[in-house]
Amino acid sequence: MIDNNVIISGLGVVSALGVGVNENLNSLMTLKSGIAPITIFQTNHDVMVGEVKLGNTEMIEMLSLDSSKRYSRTALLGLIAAREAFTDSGFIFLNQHDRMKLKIGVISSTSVGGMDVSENFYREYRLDKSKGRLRDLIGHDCGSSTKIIADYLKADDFVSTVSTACSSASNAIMLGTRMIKNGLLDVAVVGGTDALSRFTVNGFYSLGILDKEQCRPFDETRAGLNIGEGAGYLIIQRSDIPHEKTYGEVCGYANANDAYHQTASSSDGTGAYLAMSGALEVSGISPGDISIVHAHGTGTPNNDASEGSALLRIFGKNVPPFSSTKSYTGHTLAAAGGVESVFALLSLKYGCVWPNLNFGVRMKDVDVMPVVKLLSGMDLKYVLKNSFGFGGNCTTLIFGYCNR
Amino acid sequence: MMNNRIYIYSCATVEGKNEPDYKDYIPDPLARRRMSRIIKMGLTSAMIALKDSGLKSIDGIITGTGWGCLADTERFLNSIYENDERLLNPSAFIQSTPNTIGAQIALSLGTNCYNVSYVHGGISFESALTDAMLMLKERKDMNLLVGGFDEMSSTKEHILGRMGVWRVTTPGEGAHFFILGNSFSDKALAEIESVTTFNENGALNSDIDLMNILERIEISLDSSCRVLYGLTNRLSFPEQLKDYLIDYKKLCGEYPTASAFALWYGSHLFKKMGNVEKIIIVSRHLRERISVIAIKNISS
Repeated sequence: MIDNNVIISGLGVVSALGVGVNENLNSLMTLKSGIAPITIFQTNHDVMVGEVKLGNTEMIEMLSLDSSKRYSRTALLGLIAAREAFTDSGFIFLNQHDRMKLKIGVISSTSVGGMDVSENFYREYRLDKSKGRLRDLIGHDCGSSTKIIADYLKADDFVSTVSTACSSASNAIMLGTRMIKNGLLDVAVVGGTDALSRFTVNGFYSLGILDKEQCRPFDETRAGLNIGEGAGYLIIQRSDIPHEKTYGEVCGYANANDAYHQTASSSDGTGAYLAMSGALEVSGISPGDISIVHAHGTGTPNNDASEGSALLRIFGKNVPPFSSTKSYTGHTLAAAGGVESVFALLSLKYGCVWPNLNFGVRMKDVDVMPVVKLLSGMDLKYVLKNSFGFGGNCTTLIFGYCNR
Repeated sequence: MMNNRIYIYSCATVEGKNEPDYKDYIPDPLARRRMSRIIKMGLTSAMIALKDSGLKSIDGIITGTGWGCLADTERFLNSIYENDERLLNPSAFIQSTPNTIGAQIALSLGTNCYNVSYVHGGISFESALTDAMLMLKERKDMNLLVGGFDEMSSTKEHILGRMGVWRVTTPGEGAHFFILGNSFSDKALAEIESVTTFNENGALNSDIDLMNILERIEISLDSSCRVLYGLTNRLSFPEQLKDYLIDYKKLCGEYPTASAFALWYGSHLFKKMGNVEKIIIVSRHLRERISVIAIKNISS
């Protein structure tokens, strides 16, 4: 029976807070939100978003890619973050001989794939079926950005893409962990990427769940989410393979379905409760062992009430310090589980809790209160990370600090 | 990890060319009207597979789709441009996410179990199978609903035509669902032995060598084996094998999850043909990863 321990040995992230772990960490530490009015494309909607302050051309240069080829922004953001994580872990420097001895896979995730460029195609195509540049469709399939990352990192022993809306990246981390535990892979690049697109901005607008101001997760006056873009990846590996550093261990994971409504969460947070209790069961620890919760906390009235109820069901009166970083980055959709898992692991490393920004009024109906000031110097053992999505998809990961 | 064996208890297929009467499976007329064709195809296929298995409940819903919900995606994109970002109807957006079908199955069954969707082109269904097989090895007494589906919208067919795809293959679509489990049943249709995918750099006009593929994943052929193949490339193989090979994409057409059709088709071949012990399904959608699924007769 194989049951490998799975540790995290590399991190990579790009979000509205900046490019790379250091810039993101700096913004988290200094309580600087990246949410601002939209500039990346023309839209009639007056919305605040979390944009990555890098143009596509700039990213193509940073990555030394062939500039004559077309890349979706989703693929470029993913490449930047995945390359950083792979470099951080040191696997990028392995020689061919040592590299061949390892089974390395990429499990990524995205919600709309290369929609940012498909939109350009479709705008012309819908008026004239002979128009629209076919090369704009190159990144349309959700799997396309993952393939580009796997080729770039020369890591293709297993390559796949999860798409479970806003819980996607957490499910990718979960599959990678299970594959390593069971000996199917030695190392995996896991996480997700999503770029801003008219499709998602209009989609969430049509649902009436975009806040015109900066979002306020778990606040009584919360009025919706801000869409963000970004990518976040972890390098996970068997603990018995040499590694330069360790950010922690993937101790628990579970996925459950709320089975309540296609887009809304149940008021008692059934899916969230089952995901959290399932992850606790896998990790073999009890609720009292959880040091902090990195919440999904989108800022929509429905999500935060539902997640808050689920936290009360799991932890009773002793809800650990919890917060959502969506007030910094916006909701990076499929990438959220990746970006925020990086943040959760940085919490473990630095003993900090990233507070909710813009918090004013405690919720009336659900008696929970997020962390609103930066907590530091804490002795954190386990962080529980929630990610929920459309279709009732709920996933919880538990990261533990090892060899402190 | 336990050494559980993995069985296919039942399977169902819904194809564009023989769609059932959906109201038998999705009785609520309002729900039915809201659903796009691929949602109805997927949900119905899942319901038939579950009914045929005789199981009352399942422990996981794992789906794979290469193209996702194309019609709703296009409908929402159109509405953005048509009305200049005004008067948007959220239902097309809601139903455009590739996990819609998995979610609709969970809603219909009222089940809170594990639920994941994979969207990775030509190996989307294989990804779902990989996850399912892992889960069936991790835990005892598990039953999973696993499916692969894709719809051919008129726009997709037209765009792929412009790309020249229909010069080498013909369009197809379908939704195929399976109930997999790890307890032996003599009613099982087949046992799944392995699922492998690997990268292939060859161009579309180069031949792919069957023996090379089988050698690579350490499968040897004998007269009790059959090979179901579906590749956009031409497959080369020793002349004496030709009676053991079936080009399955001639039956179902080209789409990313056509290998799910092949698994459905292959699962029924053991009883139909009598003396077949093993079936090897070799697939490649356009220029993507090659996949090999090996299944065997449960009596062997």
